[in-house]
Amino acid sequence: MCAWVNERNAPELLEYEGTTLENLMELVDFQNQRIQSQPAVIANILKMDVDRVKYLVRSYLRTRLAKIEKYALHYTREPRYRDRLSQSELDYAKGFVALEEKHMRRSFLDQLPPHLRALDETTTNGLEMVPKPDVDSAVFCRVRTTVGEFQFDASEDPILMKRTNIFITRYSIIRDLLEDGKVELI
Amino acid sequence: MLGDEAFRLAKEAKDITSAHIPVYNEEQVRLVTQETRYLWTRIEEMIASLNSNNKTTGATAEGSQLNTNGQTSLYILTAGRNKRCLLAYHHRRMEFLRSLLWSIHLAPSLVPPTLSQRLSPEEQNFSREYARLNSAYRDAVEDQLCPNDSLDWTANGELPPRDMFIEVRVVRDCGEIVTESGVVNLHVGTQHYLRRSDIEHLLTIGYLEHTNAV
Repeated sequence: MCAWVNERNAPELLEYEGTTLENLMELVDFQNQRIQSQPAVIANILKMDVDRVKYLVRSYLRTRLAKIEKYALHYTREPRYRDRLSQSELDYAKGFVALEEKHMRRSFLDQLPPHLRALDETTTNGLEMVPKPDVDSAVFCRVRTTVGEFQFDASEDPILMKRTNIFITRYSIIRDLLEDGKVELI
Repeated sequence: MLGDEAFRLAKEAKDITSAHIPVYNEEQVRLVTQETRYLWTRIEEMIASLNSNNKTTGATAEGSQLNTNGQTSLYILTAGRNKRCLLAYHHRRMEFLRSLLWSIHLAPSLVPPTLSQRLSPEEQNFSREYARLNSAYRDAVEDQLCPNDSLDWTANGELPPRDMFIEVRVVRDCGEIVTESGVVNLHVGTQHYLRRSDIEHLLTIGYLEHTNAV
């Protein structure tokens, strides 16, 4: 659940929660077997619960896919992000990059002079063609375990981060805390 | 004027909203690529003449050299800009296609004919391959996470399920469907009280209508 909320709110791709998902689906499987031996009323409630869990899993995976599509080239190139993808997601990302390139090529790139056909160059004014997630976008976060004094900005005084405090800040600042599980996004 | 054709293309890309897509403008794309190609041959010519000038005349031709330099960089920038406009145009259209496909369960055959007329053959090709890519991903995930169950990918992904059963009115004839509680015959105009997950896909493609929708 927490992984889902974090993923929905973070501008970049987070670690793939493979084990959590597997455990969750195992529970669903178990629940499904239990349902068969229950009276109809209880079975319906349990079924509802199972449907909701499935919804979470779906939504989680879909959110990730949407992010992967948006920055596919970047994620498949940076080893840092590559490790965060599951195998099937990596295949998906690679397939998507290839598909997009093929489409562009067939539509118009092949008509351009050879010098202009690359899809990943840096233009003369420093604009890069490969889009990257904006890690400086604002996020809301809640502190899960007390961090203590934390330097938000180089120019500002450290701020005391206590449990359940809520902050709005740039994502890049609390990224490490999020990865350590000390804060959660809301 | 230089770059006008690309500008028109960029403007058209901006007109794409989530509900509307203009016809694929093959003519405009052709014009822009043509202009770019022309610019590039000019650039190559200019560079070539610049090199030969350097060898023969040396310092005397400095004035005209500066002039050509300015023109060359203008052309190079325009060529780059043309390319960016082309990329943006196709990118926007792909984005539209993707969200369209997601809303019809990634089945390219369900694209309404009014829309598919507006797509280029390449784009239709793209939709088919995109759908294939997605189903490959789904199969892989289902194999890994829940071999004995399905994740109901077709269900609406935007909102969490609220009710188990919903009341629906049949808008288009769907024939008989098999639900957990038996076979239901979906005739036009009839109303049914059914399990959401059984008929979710029919709801999204518009064969059924949710009557007590909140």
